[in-house]
Amino acid sequence: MASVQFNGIVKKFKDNLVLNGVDVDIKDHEFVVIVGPSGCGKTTLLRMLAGLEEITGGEILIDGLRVNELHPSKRQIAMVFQDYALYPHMTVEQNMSFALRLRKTDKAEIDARVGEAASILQLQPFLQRMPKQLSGGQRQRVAIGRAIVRKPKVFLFDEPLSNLDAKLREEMRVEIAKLYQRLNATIIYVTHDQVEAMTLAGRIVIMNKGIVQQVGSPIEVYRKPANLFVAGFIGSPTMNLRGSSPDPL
Amino acid sequence: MLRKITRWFSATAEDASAVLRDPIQRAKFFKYLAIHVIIISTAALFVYPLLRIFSVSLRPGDKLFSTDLSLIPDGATFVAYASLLRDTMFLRWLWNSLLITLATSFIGVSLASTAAYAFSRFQFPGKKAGLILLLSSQMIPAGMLILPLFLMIMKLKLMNTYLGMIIAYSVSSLPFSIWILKGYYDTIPRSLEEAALVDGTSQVGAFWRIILPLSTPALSIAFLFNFTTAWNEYLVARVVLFSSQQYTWTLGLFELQGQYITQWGMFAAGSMLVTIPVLCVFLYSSKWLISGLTLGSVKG
Repeated sequence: MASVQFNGIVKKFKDNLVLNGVDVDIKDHEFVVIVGPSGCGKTTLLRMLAGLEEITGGEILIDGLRVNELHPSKRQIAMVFQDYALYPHMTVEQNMSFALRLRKTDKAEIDARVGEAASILQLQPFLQRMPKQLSGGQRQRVAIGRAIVRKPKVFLFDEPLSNLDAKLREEMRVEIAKLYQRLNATIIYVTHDQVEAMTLAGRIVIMNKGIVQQVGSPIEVYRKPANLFVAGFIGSPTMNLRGSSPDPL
Repeated sequence: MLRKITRWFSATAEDASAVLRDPIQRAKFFKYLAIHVIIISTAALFVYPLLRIFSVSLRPGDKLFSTDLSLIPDGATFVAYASLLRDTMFLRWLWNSLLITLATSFIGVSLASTAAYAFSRFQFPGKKAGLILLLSSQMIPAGMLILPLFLMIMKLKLMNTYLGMIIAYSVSSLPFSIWILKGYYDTIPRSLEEAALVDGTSQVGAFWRIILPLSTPALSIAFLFNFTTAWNEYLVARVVLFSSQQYTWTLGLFELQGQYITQWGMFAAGSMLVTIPVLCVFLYSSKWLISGLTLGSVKG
């Protein structure tokens, strides 16, 4: 497992400044949730770490190694996408073993790792099925399984539960928490759902308009918000703030 | 056995009268009847010329204008087929056509599939202009392109060669194939390639292992389009090829048409034979035309 450092990260899409000097240190074995309203740049930050988005300025270090120019596959990360991104022409087993087969891993080793991940996620009965034969929750588990078998240094989750219904989301939240305890991995998890952030995170990074507003444990950001934005964003119902927009009712 | 049959008949008769009594069932019945009448008559419309040619090809002598309407005429014979294969270079022409068509289709589809991928996924200067240019080249009537094609192929010193034909054909069907494939790639979510990149493929690897296998319906449409246009093409072949050794079947068949006499029996027999490869390709590729392969990859 590994630490991750974002040093002064800047991202521009043409003239549009999406991230403006993001500095975050993530320690080994830490579960960090990046949370913020839509369009705050949290997914962009994650995609830059994965190598799917170019970095305009600043540097990203994984385990002390600068990865700015490194190909995604060389960064030893695994990513779970919001829309699962399962390969539709492959069975569950082939989906999970794809990365290992690319690396020409030994067949016995592949079987062992896929078997282990399938048993953790209770996917054994579905290994020979195609993605279209699975329910949403099962597909999400396959996507997580595909990440587990690679034994990456860092797991990246991009709003993985946002497509599930409320009940399933709750169940998967518990499963992800259990998984974290079991794998003891470094996890960076992006969400806009503050309940997910508060329940899963070891530390929360709260972002707004491309700027980090506060980094701290869930209880810290709840009890001692660094600014008005954090105070208004965290907590349900949200804090009453003087001078904030009046309630239309 | 007999009892079984009578029971079946009486059962269907009872069913039929039950169906006709119920107004909803009756409406349904007439709807299906109307749909089937339309389908069958359309099919007949398309099949009829083929049947006529078949019957002409079996006629003894060259009785094209015989008023006999039977499918298998009196004194039906395969003489026309035999003399076509024996007395003319028909097999050679068929072979030429097959070689040119297959090469055209494979080259055309492989060029189009990669070009379309670039148009679908990458941003580069001139992308929009390129797409519009490709589209507008389709608006030019094929006849107008004959002269420039002739000049180009002559400059390349490829007159009367397979290669000249292959270049001319694969280039002219490229714009259509690129548009078809680009449209299809656009529907494949990018996150699939991104997942493959994270999993360890290169961009080319993601295209080869993920995008191409998912695009089989569009690829087979592009292949069929390339195949049928090249197979049936006449005008360009007329200009580029001039020795009967190199002829494609379209040119070859017109060899049979003389100024004073046309061997219609052989002409019909040739027409029947050339439908076989196209039929085989269509039947084979129909299994790849199943859409909905991307179902289940992503949410939505």
